[in-house]
Amino acid sequence: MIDLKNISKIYDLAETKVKALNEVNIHIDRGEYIAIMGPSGSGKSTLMHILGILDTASSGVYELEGYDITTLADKEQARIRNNHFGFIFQSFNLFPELSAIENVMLPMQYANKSQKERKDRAVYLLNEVGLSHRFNHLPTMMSGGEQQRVAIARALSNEPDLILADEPTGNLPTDKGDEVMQILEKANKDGVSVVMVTHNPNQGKRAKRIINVRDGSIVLNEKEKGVKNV
Amino acid sequence: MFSEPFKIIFRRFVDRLTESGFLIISVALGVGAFAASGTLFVNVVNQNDELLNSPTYKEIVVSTRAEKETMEFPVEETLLSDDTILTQSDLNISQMIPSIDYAYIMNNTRLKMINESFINDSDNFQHSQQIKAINESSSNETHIDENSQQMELEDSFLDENIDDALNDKSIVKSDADEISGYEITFEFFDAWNLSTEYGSLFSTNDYSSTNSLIILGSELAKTLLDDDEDLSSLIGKRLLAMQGYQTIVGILEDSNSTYDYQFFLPYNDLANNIGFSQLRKNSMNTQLRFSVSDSTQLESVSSMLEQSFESEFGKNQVIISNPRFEAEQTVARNAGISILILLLAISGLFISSINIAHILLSRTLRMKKHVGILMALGATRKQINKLFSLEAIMIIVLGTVLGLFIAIPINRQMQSALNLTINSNWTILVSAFVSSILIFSFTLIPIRRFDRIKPADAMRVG
Repeated sequence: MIDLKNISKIYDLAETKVKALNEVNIHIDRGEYIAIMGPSGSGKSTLMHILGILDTASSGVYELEGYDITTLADKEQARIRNNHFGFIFQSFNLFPELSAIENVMLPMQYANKSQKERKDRAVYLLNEVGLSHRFNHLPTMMSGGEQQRVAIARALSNEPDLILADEPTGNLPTDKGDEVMQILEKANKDGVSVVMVTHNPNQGKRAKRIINVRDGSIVLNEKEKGVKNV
Repeated sequence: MFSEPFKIIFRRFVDRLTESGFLIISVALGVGAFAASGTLFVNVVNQNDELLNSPTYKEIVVSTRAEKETMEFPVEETLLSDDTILTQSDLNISQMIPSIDYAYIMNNTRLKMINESFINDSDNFQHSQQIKAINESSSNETHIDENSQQMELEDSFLDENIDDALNDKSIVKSDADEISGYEITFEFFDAWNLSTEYGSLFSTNDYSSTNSLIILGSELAKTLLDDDEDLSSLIGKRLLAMQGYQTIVGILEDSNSTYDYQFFLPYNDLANNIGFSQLRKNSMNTQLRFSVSDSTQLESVSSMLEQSFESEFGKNQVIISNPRFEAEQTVARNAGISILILLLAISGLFISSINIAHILLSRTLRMKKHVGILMALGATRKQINKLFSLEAIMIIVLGTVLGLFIAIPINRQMQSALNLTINSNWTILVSAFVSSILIFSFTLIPIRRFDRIKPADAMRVG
C-alpha cells in the first residue's frame, strides 16, 4: 500500500541543519499493525508526519498504491489525508468548541457527506467506542480516555485505509490506555492498517511489526516473530 | 445546518465576545467615519456642481433696493433712490451686450387664498364683507390699502357671492392661507428651461392683457386637486384668491426645484391699468435679471451693465449684484471642509484597518493548532482561508451595520451644517461598502499567513 523510498528529512534551523530522517525505506501492506519505537528525538514523529503527508520529505519518493505522491498539490494531499488516513494524537487534538459528535462529524464535512450521513456515521462510531452517553459533551467535560476514544471515532469516520497514531496512550492511565489499544486492535482486525508510535514495549509487543528508529535511521524492522524485513 | 468548521469559528467568536466586540466597534468607527465623510464629500462635489450650474448663479441682478444681506449695516431694506424706476423697457439694455442670453423680470409675489378657514375667521370674513361693500360702490380700478399691501379685485370676483364661489366645484380653492410665486416676463421660462406638462406658457398677448392668468408649479398644482381629479382638469379653471380669480393656463413639468411649489403671473408694467403710483410700488420690488450661459462672462457683463445703467440713471442709482461670487466662496469653503473631514476619516479608517488586522493576526496565531488539525483531517489551504475569511466577514458585516447607524446621523448633521440638501442614502451605502472592502483587504494579511504552512508545523504549537 505505502512505499517510502530513501526518504530523508532535514530541518533548516538558524545556523545548522538537523537531519531528522536519513534515507529511510519502509513498505506497509494493507491490514498491517506496526509499532514505531525509539528514544525521544530519534525521528519517530517526523516519520509519522511524512507517512500522513502532514510534512514533506527533503528527498526520496513516497508511493501510495503505486502512485508517486511526493509532490502533489495541496488540494490532492488534503483529499488523500481525508480519504485514506485517520490521525490519533497523544494530546487528542479535539476541537474544544465542538461536541463529541461534532468532532467526529468534522472530517466527513471535507468528504462532502451530507449532514444526515455525517450524523448517522458519528452516532455509530461513538456507540462503537462506548460513548453513546457523551454525544453532546464538549471535550473539556470528558476524561482523557473518553477524549481519546472520540479521537479514534473521528479517525475512523471516513473509513480510512491507515490509522496513524502518535503515542495514543501517552497521556492516559494504564487501564484507559488499554481500552484505547483494544479499540485500535479491533479496527485492525476489521481491516484497517495501524501505524503507532509508542514508547511502551508492552504495546509494541502487541503490534505485528516493530520498526525501531534511532538517529533518523531504521535500526530494526522486525516482522512477526523476529523476521527482519528492511 | 451549519458545517462543523463554521461552528468552530462562530463559537470562538462568541466565546471571545469582548475581543470580538472591540473588533466590531473598530470596524463600525472606521466605516462610520468614512461613510459619513465620503458621502459628505460626494454630495458637496455634486451639489457644488449643481449650484454653480444653476441659472441663479449665471445671472446678474439689477435692482433699486439694497438687500439686507448686501448692506454694510443691515437694518432694513431701503430704496437707493426715490427717482429711479426700473421697468420692463430697461431689459432692452441686453440687446447691446451679446453675451447676455436672456433678460427678464422676476419679482416675488403672494396670493392670499379664500377658503373655508378664511370665512370661519370672523375678522377675515368681516374684512371680505368690507371688500365687497367697497367694491360694490366703486369702480373696477379701486385699490384698497390694507396692511401696506394693495389688493386689487377683478370684475368677476365682484359679481360673485363668496359663499357661492366656495360651493362652486368649477372654482379651485386652496387650503393654504396664501401661496407664493413670481411675476415674470416671458424670457424667464427660457432661462430656466421650464415647460408645461399641461396647458401652455403665457402667450405674448397674455403679458399685455388685463386678464388675471396664472401658471402653477407641479407640486403646488397637486395641492389644489380634489382626490379623484388629475392635473389636466385644472386647466381653464379659476383659482379663488383675495386678489381676484386667477385663470389657470398651464401647469409646469417637474423641475425638482423650488419652482415646483410656486405660481407664476405675467408681469407687465406697461399695461393700461397700472397708474404711476402702482408703477412706483412695482419698481421697489422689481429685479431685472440678465442671464449668461458662460459664467466666465459674468464679470465683464456686470461691468457693462453698470456702465449702461450709470449712463441712464446716474451713479449709484441701482444695485448690480453677481450672486455667483458668493456662491463660489460657499462652494470653495464647503469643498475645503469636506476634503479635510474626508482625509481625517481616511486616516481613521487606515488606523482602524491596521488595528483590526493586528488583532486578527494574534487571534489567528492562537488558532494555528486548529489550522494544523483541520488540515490533518482533510481541509485544503483554500478552505482554511475561506473559514478565516468568514470570521473576518462576520466582524466586518456587523461592524458595517453598526457603522451605518453612526454614519447616517453624523452625515445628516454635517450636511445640514453646510446647508446641503440631504440626499445621501445610496451614497452612504456605497461609501460603507467601499470602506468595508478596504478593511477586509487588511484582514487578508493574517489569513494569508497560512498559505504555505505545513500541517505538522501548525500542530507543533501549544
